[in-house]
Amino acid sequence: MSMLATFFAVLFSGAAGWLLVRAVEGSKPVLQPIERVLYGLLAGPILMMELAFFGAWAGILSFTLGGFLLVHGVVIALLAAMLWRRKILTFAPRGSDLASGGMPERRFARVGLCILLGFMALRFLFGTVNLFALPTYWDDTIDNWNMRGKAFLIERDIILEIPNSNATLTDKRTESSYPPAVPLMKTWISVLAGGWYDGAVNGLHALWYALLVGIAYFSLRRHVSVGWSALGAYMIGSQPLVLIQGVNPYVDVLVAATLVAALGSLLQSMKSDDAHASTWLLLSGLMMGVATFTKNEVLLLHLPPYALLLLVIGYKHGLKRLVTPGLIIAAILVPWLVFKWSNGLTFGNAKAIGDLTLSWHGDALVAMWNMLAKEPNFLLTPLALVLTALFGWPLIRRGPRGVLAFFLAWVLAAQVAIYTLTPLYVEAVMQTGMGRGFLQLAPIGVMLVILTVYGLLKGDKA
Amino acid sequence: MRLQLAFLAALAILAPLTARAETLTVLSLREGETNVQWQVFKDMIITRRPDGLELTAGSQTGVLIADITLGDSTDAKATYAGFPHAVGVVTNAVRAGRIYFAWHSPGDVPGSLTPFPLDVPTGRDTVTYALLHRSPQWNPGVDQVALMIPPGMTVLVKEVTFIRWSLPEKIWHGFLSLLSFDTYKLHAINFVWGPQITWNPIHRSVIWNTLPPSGFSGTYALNLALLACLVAVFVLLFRHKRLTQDEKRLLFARRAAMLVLGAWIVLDLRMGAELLTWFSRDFRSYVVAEEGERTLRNFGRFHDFAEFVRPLVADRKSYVLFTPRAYPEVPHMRYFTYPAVPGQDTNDDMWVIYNRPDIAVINSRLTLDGQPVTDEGTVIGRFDDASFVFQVSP
Repeated sequence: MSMLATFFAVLFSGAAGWLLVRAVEGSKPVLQPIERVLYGLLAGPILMMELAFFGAWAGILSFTLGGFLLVHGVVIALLAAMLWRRKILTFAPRGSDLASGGMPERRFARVGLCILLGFMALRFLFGTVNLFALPTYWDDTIDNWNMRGKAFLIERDIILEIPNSNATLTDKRTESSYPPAVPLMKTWISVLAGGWYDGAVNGLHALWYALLVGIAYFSLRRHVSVGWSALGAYMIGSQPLVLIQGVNPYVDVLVAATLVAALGSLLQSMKSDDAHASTWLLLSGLMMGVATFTKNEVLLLHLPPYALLLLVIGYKHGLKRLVTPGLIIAAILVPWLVFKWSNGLTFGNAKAIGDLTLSWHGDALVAMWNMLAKEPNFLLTPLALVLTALFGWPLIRRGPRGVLAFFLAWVLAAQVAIYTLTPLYVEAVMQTGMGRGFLQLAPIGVMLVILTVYGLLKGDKA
Repeated sequence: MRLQLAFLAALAILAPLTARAETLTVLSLREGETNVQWQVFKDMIITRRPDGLELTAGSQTGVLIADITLGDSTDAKATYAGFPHAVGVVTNAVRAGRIYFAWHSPGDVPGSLTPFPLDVPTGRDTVTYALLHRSPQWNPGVDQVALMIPPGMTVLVKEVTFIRWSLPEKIWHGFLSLLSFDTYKLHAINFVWGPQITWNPIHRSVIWNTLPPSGFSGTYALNLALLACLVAVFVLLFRHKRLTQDEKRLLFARRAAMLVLGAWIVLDLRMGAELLTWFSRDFRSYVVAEEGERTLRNFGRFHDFAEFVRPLVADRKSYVLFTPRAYPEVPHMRYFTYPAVPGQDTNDDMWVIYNRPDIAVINSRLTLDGQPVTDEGTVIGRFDDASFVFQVSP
């Protein structure tokens, strides 16, 4: 019964997301029908929860069934009406064509790939069953993602300081500094379920693993064949840390999915004519905006290189085309920043950026080496990336591969700087937050490897 | 023909593995079987039993010592190849405790010993192993071995066995160790250790008992092996005179991709199997287990207890909580019972007790080690003998 609540919560929010994505595409659809569903399922819940959050802040609604239905009803009605009026409320307008090429020609390769995908699916399904059936276990879920969702449910309103277990209140500059989208989504599910059920609220996270793998597949599919795209999807989904987080109530897989969607759309804008490029840029801006409302580090780590890339890539089509994507990101991000500033919340992840002092911590480098070379968290992605950089250098210096490489290099360098120069080195040495930072980038790394190896084998020249 | 040659080659390589190569050197302390001369030092009482020597240390650590030659004494710089890797001590003990296996080498200060801990459990005929090869001081020139018994401890020692494994056996156990799986722990959400390589079954049985695990990283070994193969392919290809540069680049890319993909799949199969065992264990221990008997990883029956308590505190703001440890039970209980939050105000009238045999209800009062800590009240819900909910009467 409670699983039905998860399903319907996702359905309503996903429907709003689909309409929004369709509206962004306008009269120049670029997505395949199933891609549109995936993008809608990714953007819808996050943006609906943002609207609900600010609706509560404005005093318009409470976190009740009526409040959530009001948000969804208004958004769905308005978007549907707008699309109907523009005569573009069609369910399956076909977007840009995908790259040519099917499954591998050799039977051995086809069967092998299917077996590997099946093995990945088996682990995911088994983990998902447990996700719905087990009680919450992990610290960050207990303290943050679920705890806040429960507090919103009980209070029916925004609450920043939650009673602690020693007659104190939690410091609002810690967990409450995180965007509330994920906790509110759990509140929404609980409101539909008629109460808090761990299985129902945790089961949501499996959706994001599926979206990550699906969106990565289609992002690759626009550049390479079915077989290569499927291989990339397998390599992304089979990484142990990606799978473990994908079937547990953490948020880094969601962040990874939004980054893949944002960058994948950006890559497509480079290959498209002006009219379709605008649509891709809008979609990319939408997904990056969504990303900023998932976890704080997106604002500091991922948005800057993305903005630079957007500027460089969009410039080719005219700076005017960057205005709307920029406005979309601002529309999502700025209200949240205003809320944080007006409530004294921090801009770091539970630690104020301004409080960080600089000093050298070389042991963080050792910890990074251990994580990437001696532990199979990302299987062989680190080695594959190094080899790609060494032997695929002529190809990754420019074009779509260059975009991915630049983004990866920037964010990795920023993470190395943070872990070696600030007190956050503890997150590296204790191997806590560091792995999750790498997890957010791992799918992009795999995409870069796939695109580069594909190019090398095809004999592409720089 | 090629298939037959490959089969014969495989047989030739694998055949040595079928020979039992584990070497045992047994020092028996059983009556009539003693094969070395043992001496006693310090304050220790020795009682001869039919099946061994009962050692009781007094106010000082007792020492039982014997002269011995284990390695090739004519080759003082010999490698560990012919020398024991581990020792197993067979004991009877009424109380568990730590004793020490110790040794003396010719270069050591006379009378000094290098100790290596052995945690002896209670029971009869239990074997406790020490992985001597992990001590940098263990060497082929050892001329004395000893057992050191802490003050007040009694243990019956029956046998001291030295074990070494041959190279084929070590290779086989190294392979088996890659298939030894960790359990689903709190750190797994941030990182996983992955396959670890050890060279004998004793080490394999204790890989995961330490943080970090005590083996050599299998992922690192795979990365290094892969790099070596890629370098070999690179060198072989680029020395090839008849191929153009472009052809060499293409061939290298193809072979490198196949090598990396092959290694990826091998590592994925290993890690996938490990994750499936984790999921399977959780499924059996919790999802399909009877309510009240469910356990989850390191939490035992805590979650069933939390579910039991939740309705009893649903209409409250706070309650007093006693658990064996503050973390992780207290924050988890806070989450499960929210908005009722566990507190420390002993004036609170609701007391939730989890797994605390030292807390009981005596004469209608809650007591800690027999001392009353509350006024009179009643147990409004009992989970098990050491876990219940107590409400103080108004």
